[in-house]
Amino acid sequence: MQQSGGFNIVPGFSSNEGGSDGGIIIYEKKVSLSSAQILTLNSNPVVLIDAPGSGKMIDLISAVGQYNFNTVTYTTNTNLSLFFEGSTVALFVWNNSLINQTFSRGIKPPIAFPSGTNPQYLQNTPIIAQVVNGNPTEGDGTVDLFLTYSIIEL
Amino acid sequence: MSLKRIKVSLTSNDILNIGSSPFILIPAGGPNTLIDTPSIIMKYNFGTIPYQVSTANLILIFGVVQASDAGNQYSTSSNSSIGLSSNKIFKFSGPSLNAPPVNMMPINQALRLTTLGNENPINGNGTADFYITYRILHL
Repeated sequence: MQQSGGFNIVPGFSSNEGGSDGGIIIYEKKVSLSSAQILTLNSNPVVLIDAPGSGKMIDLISAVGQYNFNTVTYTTNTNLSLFFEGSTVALFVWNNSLINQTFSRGIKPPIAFPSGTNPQYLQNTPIIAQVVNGNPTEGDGTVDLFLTYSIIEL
Repeated sequence: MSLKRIKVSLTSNDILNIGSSPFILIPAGGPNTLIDTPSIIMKYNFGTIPYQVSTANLILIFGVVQASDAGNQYSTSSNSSIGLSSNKIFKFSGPSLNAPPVNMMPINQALRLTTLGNENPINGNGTADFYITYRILHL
């Protein structure tokens, strides 16, 4: 498992949870994936958000992906997905819509439908980026992920 | 208009009557208000017996139940939630904008949990916790 690098943690808006207006803390984080990371994103997923601690869970509210095309598009295994580490039910999926493109683009996917029996959300577990089935076979672009999330105390 | 979060816990008795007595998760905000819910997470706590619901899905609605899942605010398969024999945490996904509800965000309506067709589950003894991130929009 790779650790994400080159990102910023931006203090969110809103007041502290439990404050006078009952607001919650919203976090924003940018994670940049290099071409080398994308080319091994099945066998070596990247941790985007660390586990929040015992009794807590990440609520990933929004994920925006910006693909920066270079000269060669990624081929095969191009469903970029976000998961809780160990879960098989995705939170967000760019279903062959991002890194297989021949041009730069930004996409905000909808929340993935939580079908099946396996949990989609896991307590005290990091969120990872992964492509399913196998590693892409070629490509040299990069991806910036803009994540908006909060922490739930269960 | 800061985002807030509430935890709402449902007992087994609440779930067994969820069709005939829809459970209010967030009360209506008052005249000229809308409830915006960017995140609705359900934590199903399996007991010893799964609920049986024929084909009716669990739905979260504002206002009136529509004729199909596509016409409701949020839905999930009962077989993938309260029909399970194990714990599960998941997020409700929103409606398809290819077939949105007639009135997707009606004014001054509570957010309620029920089943499509207002069918009550039978048997079952698990509980559920909802973690809802929301804000009240004043028009």
